Amino acid sequence: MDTATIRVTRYRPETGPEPFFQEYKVPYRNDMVVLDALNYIKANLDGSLTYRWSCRMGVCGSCGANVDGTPKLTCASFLHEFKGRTINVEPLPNFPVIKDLVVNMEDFMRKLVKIKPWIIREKETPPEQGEYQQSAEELERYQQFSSCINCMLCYSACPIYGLNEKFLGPAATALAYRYIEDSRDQGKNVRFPIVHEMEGVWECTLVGECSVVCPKGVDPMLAIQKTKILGATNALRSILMPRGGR
Amino acid sequence: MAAGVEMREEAPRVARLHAILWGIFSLGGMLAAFLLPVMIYLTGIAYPLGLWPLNGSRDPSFLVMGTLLGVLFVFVTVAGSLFHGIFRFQSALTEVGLLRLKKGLEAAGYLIIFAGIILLAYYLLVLNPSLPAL
Ligand code: SF4
Ligand code: FES
Repeated sequence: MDTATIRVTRYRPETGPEPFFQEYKVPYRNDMVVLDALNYIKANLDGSLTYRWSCRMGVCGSCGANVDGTPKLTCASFLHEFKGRTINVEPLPNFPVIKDLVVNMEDFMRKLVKIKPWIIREKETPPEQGEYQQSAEELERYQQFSSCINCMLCYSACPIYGLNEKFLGPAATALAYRYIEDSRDQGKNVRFPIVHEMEGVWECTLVGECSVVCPKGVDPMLAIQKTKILGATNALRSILMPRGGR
Repeated sequence: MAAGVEMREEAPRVARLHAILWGIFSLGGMLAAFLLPVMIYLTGIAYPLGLWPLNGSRDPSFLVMGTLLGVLFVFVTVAGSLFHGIFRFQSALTEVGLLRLKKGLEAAGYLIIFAGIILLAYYLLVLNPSLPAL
């Protein structure tokens, strides 16, 4: 068994105002990930270490941390990839830290609710009338954007969100776009004003790191660009056809 | 959903003007990407090296002299690139952390774009030594 050196950020507001690093030595096998190392530390070396996790398989989105300087899921980062190096594990950047690796998610939660992540119908039809049908092509249009697991890595990687937390940001826009493109949804008029606010998509300067770090292959940058195109065409239409355009 | 999340939101305000400016910016980017290389090729490579289509006696000033299409080509290329470049430069300044100066940077940027476009139009339509008949 090899041994990994893990340097974890500790922040315990009840004992001191400043975060500090604490180093641990963890024996590991080739199939072990950073989350396994954190669990090993908690079980065997220091029970006070605090972090979030649940599924251990890249599904729940709760185990994100800044691993070796990059926002990653700790359950998807293998220890052997860092062989011979000290592995820094820090809380996700751009979020207030509550304790150790646990960050405050309230801002993100508020944004998720804000974009109304559900299918909006002008008038619901009773279930007896059957399901809302959709073709494979219609599904294709939004499918990748529905794979988001709300891990917030994209917000951590986004320098614009770091500068302005009012920015709606990558995952919330990707999710809004997922419903805008869903043929069953009729809520465009409700969502457009939210995504087309100044602090909706327009703050994005196309850095693209959100799409680089996403562990689920979602391309939030593409969703933001497509939403901008919809915003520009709507604005033009509202000038050229003030009565009919939106 | 997490308990305690505040649900009260202000009514959103669509940034319509910014949306249109962004549309011009992206159109300008496309023009810069397609037309600017043509202009650079004609004036910076083909003319000095005597390559097609400027081999023989042709001088690149024909772009602004004599044909309305030439004037339009130069205007669209330069104005589009200027708009795109300044808009992008503002974004780059935001990215490096000058967000607090954003409003001032935007005002300065649009002033440069506006002045640049007026100067360009003035040159092409007034100073142009052989202005094509309109
Ligand atoms: S878009 Fe990707 S990186 Fe962002 S929250 Fe969703 S899964 Fe995570
Ligand atoms: S523990 Fe669920 S995604 Fe990592």
